[in-house]
Amino acid sequence: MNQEDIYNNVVRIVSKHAKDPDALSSIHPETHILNDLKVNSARLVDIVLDFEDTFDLEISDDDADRIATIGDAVQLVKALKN
Amino acid sequence: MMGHLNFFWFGPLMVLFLRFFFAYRCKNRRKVRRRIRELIAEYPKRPLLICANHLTMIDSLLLTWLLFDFRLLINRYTYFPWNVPELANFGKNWLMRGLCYLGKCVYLERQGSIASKRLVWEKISYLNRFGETLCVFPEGGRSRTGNIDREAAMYGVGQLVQSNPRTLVLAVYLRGKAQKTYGIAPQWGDRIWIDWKLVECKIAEGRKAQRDITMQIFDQLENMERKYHATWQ
Repeated sequence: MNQEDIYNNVVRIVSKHAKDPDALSSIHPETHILNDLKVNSARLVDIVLDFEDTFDLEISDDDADRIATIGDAVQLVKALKN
Repeated sequence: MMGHLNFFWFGPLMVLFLRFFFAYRCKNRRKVRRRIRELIAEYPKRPLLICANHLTMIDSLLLTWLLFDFRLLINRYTYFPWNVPELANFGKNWLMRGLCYLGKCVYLERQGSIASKRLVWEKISYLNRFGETLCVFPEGGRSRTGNIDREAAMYGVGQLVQSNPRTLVLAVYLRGKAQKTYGIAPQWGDRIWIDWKLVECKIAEGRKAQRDITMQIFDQLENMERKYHATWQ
């Protein structure tokens, strides 16, 4: 899976939980998942679970805590896949 | 120790406030308390985790009043539940902080750092392992929909149960007859409906299991909510 596929999948997963449709239209790697997309912080666990299922990997609590932006998520998935 | 001693005046004041100032009534209070006493007698060494729906700012007070006898709490203060209120709402001034101290609270900062959240987790996890009763609201805050809101589910409750499978999980549904949606408190003189069920959680390992455990608790809460609506609405 290349970086573009990872990015598209990350955006797809995160978008399901976004509460701000306007922010979705201008999504980019620096978009903050909680602050910009207004994702409920409780839903971050669902997002991490979806990442694990989609990319077939295991994400530790420490790694999960470090995900703040779309780019963070993409970089983490990329690092864990390699 | 200080909290226990203070409970001798704080407890009656709390009842006075709820029963006479707010004039709340609850028909099945005695039956609910008797069932709690029976549960405690059956499992005397297991910690209780009260998982309740959340509609008003005084839900914790109502739950403590309606679920536990004053005598039980005097004799076994460990059953007076610890709460996890939001610092921004319940730590605004010294009066509130004092009341929260007496009411066994561990403050949580919802917008706080990961480290502060971990510290809260460590504290409540320790209290639970130590056999203390905890009261949490699995929806995280007062339900904006006016009913049980799965969308707001916090999986920390599942994590807690997973970390200590000996925990007795009580799903509690509490609501005034006139309570249409969330608010500060049930309206004056309201009749309060309360019911609880022991949730026999199926516990597994991993993050997904935490969600599953939380959802098992939500299933019970929704069952009781349906019962409430069928009975009173």
